Amino acid sequence: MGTINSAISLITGALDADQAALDVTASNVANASNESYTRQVPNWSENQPIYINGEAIGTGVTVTGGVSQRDRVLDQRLDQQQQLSASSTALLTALTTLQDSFTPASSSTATGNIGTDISNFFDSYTQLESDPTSNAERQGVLTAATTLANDISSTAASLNAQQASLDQSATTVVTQVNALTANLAQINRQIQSTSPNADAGVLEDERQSDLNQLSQLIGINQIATEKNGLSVTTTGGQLLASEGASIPITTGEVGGVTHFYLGTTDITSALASGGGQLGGILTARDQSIPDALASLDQLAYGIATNVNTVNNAGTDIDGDNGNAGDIFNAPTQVAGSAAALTVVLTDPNKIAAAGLGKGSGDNSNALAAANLATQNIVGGQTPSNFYSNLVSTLGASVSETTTQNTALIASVTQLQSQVNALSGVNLNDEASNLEQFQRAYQAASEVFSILNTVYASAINLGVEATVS
Amino acid sequence: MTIGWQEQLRPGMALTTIVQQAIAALIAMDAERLEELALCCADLNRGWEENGLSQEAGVHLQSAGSDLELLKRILHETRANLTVLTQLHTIRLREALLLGSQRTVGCADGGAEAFGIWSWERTPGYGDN
Repeated sequence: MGTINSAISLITGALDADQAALDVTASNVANASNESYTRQVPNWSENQPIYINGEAIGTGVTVTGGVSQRDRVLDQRLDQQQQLSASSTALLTALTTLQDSFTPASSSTATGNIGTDISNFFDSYTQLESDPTSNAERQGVLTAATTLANDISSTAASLNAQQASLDQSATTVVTQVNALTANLAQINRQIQSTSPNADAGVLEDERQSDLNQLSQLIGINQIATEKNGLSVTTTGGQLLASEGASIPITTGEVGGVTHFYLGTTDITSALASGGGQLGGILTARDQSIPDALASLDQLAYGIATNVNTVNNAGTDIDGDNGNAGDIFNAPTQVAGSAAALTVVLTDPNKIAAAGLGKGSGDNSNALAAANLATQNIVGGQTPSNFYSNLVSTLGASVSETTTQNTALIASVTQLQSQVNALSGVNLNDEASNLEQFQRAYQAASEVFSILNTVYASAINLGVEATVS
Repeated sequence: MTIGWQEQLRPGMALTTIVQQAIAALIAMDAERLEELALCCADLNRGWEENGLSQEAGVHLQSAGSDLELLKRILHETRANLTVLTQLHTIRLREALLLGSQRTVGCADGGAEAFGIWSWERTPGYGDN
């Protein structure tokens, strides 16, 4: 009985498939002169085989309806979301690495934690203040200064290395982009010569595959041209491939980093904001890392200049008045201060703990140095607060990018499942699918709306809220 | 509608679990699950309205904050996707309507008659004999 039913089903399916194919073909003929009509091709798919007595029996084919050029609408939306998703993934990876530079795994101990180093350094002056002639306390100041300088300079070196690594990655991505646009141009030529007015079949699939790959790497716009051609530009509008020709992105070094050009136009900034993996890499290389490095420079500069000033405003144990010397190397400018930060004072007796012109037992200058910890000497903030804000700002960036990234990946997942679900279905199935999607959205909106309202109530209970 | 696990959630109210399940269901576009969760939330909300929001629930809400933010973002993306899909469907509907009207024209001028189909849907028109 099962066998008969299977056979009937197989025959019926084949008949349905034939009828559908006729419909598609006939509609194309009927609309051959209608330019606004979108060509359709029958899309045959092999059915899953039926197993009878352990033998696989083919169940024929099913025509899944016309594959419309209008599917490009969905493809393009998917490409756009993939561009954003790839960009945020690359940025998130870079930001996480960047964050690790400031909050190393060893942060539970004092080692490598700049925040702890700052506290320890100024605390060492407090210790010296209680016993200004103690060699051990003086040595303690130098040790704490050295630890602080080493951690700041090694973090700066780590940031510079990450920037160089991202620079290399960007160049690699651009090489891949150039290869893809060259291939796209070649496929365009083939499509325009072999299928100027018809669906190009495998070549069309190949072109779409290249576009998908390109979307992962770089932000692009697609423009359909005559004879089934396609032009591809960056999201900034610079032409990458026009029908049968491609324009390679070239490179040049500016200020120690690689810049990217189309012709003579520097498109580096446009690429950074354009999306794709390259967008994320360039955003991290040109914005996130330089911002963090600038803050670290500001911190190093503020601490070094102020501590040096205080040391040269007191009297050391040898009786030098106002010229005990610098503890840190004196930075000439803010930029580069972090990477260059070192301790230049080697003799602990040269630490000016006493006030100017006072005896070695005086501690007023050590007190002045210790008080720097609570003074707004770095960007209008205390050194510790400045550093805390730097780390928390970075943490907020990572958190924001993580949320954005997760949302974009979710969006891509939804779209990919829709591409599969809508592939070749009839309008009724499509409407049903859309209704299901609409219901999901409405129900999720309701969940959010209720919880968000309660969240607002939580604020009234004194519970801090972050969702607006 | 009573949901078993809903009762379990009521005292401790693992709101993060609800939000996380809503996120997973929204990504999978599982309307049934989301409707269930919406009912659950509505029920919880009634409880809060009647008995007041406990400090414990407030703390749970706070811990659900980042997930709630994520749900908001995904909702935003979902709406954009839904808009694209609705537009796509509209295009296809319009296309089908256009195709239907042109089939009649095509049959009238004999363009598709060679395929031997559509004669059943052919309507008499001007020039029909």
